[in-house]
Amino acid sequence: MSVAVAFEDYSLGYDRNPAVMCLRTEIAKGSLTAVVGPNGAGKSTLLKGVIGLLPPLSGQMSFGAIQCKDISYLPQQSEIDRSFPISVRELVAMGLWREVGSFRGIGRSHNARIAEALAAVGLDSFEKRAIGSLSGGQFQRALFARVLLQNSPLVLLDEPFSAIDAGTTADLINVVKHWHGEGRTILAVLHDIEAVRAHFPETLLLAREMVAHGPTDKVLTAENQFRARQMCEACSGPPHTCTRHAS
Amino acid sequence: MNRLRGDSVGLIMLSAGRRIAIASILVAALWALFFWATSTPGGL
Amino acid sequence: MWELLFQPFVDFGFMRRALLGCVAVSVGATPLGVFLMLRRMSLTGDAMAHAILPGAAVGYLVSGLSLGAMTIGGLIAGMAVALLSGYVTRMTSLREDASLAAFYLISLALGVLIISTRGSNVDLMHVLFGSVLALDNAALTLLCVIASLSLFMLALFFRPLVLECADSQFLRSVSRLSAVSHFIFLTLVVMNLVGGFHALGTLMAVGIMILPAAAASFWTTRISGLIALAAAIALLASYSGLLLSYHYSLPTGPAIILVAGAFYLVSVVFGIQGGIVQQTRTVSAVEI
Repeated sequence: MSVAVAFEDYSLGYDRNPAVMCLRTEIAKGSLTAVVGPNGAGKSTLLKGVIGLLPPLSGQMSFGAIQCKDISYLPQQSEIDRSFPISVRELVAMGLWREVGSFRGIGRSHNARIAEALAAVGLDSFEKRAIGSLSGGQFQRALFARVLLQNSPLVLLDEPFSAIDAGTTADLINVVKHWHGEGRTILAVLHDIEAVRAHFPETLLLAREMVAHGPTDKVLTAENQFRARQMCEACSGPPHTCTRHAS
Repeated sequence: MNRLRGDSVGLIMLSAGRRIAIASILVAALWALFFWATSTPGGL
Repeated sequence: MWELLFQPFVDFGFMRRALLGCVAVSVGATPLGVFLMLRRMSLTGDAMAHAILPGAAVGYLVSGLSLGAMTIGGLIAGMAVALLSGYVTRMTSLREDASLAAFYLISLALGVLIISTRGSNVDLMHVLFGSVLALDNAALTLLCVIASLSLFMLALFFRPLVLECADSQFLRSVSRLSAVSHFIFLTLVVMNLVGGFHALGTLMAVGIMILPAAAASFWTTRISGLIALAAAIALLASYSGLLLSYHYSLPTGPAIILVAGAFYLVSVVFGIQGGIVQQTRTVSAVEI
């Protein structure tokens, strides 16, 4: 099994305060991995590191076969201005960025694909609506359609199912499973442990340092979760230098 | 037909070339106004 | 009717020049104002407009009421404050609005002080309120060049600029143009404020940038429509402001800004996107 992303003593953070420390593991190509952990465990920070929004404090990250520009990233909803005056179609069309960049037009040849992506997330009749008029669930569907158009081998999702209704969550989990079936590598930050157990074969448990990584039922033991919580309470103090590697 | 309806042809979907073409029309109009305003008599 | 609406521009060169100056400021500055508003940076625009004042004042100190010196001084000071205020917000715990207000008050006081040491009250009035009725060819050329450049740059970088406002995380994940487009945007804002300051003065230049954008936001939910509508409102406000000032002998800059302000107030009340009338209607519909 080949590797999609490999971390070697990888540390990430803001202003020299590490939020992720000494991460040493590999994400297998084609895997569907949930990133879980207590609040402040560095889950979202890890995704920002992978996409290149944050430079590492130390250590290295390497991609296997994929190019680092072949990554789709779905930020947390709160980081997008939902009152911004563009239509659903325009927002979704930005998923074509790697093909059209800043300067090429989005024309007839792309229309079919945009319509297809909208249909896949159940937003067929919404394309002309302003994004501000969508509900939280509908907006998340639109963002998934944008990821769909990006058509990347590696997909990073940051809290994709938080604050949306059950029906939408079920639909979007199906979209994620479909991506998994197509052989894409998916890394999703989640806080709903039940959903992780039900749908995600792999789990990476994080509490600033890595607690465990592997098949979900072996990682999400009561013991591991307790340890993660303890480590996170301990890490609210000043950061210590990293001396040991999590196994 | 879609192209005729204003709401579905946002500037963001156009190529940079087309956007510049639109800008050129406005700029041309501006400079036409410039020559009308500065060259005809009437004094300050 | 013809005499009321068009005769002044046919008869008097200074009215045609004033119209041209206002049109140039309108088409160049209002699209930028739309972006400023959408990024919740309206106050930044205001602070930058005031920051230009001491720069222009130093230019004035060096060579009197010279177009070139005051423009260059204004550009340097404007860019400095644009970059500094971003830096202060990032590096200190001071909230952005407070740091901007500080910059803007210091700049305004400093600018007025510098001009007063050398010049007369007339010079001061010129800088603060502009001289739209006395624009010479050089000033008009400058205004038109700035407007043309703004339109072309906006056309070229429209897509990254929009994404930078709507979803900058996404833009940074797909493109390296995020920082570039932000810098281009700030540069264009400063350039337009400097241009606007020759026509409308430092205090009013930011008004023609922000007011039409704020008014337009009550009528449309598409950015393209927003830009077109804001520019149209700015043009209409310039034209009617000029006529009002001509027929009733009012100061021109304030007349133009007040017409734009009237558009804004009407939009707040009657606008179909969240105007007061519309909101009360929806509320009462829900209650029934």
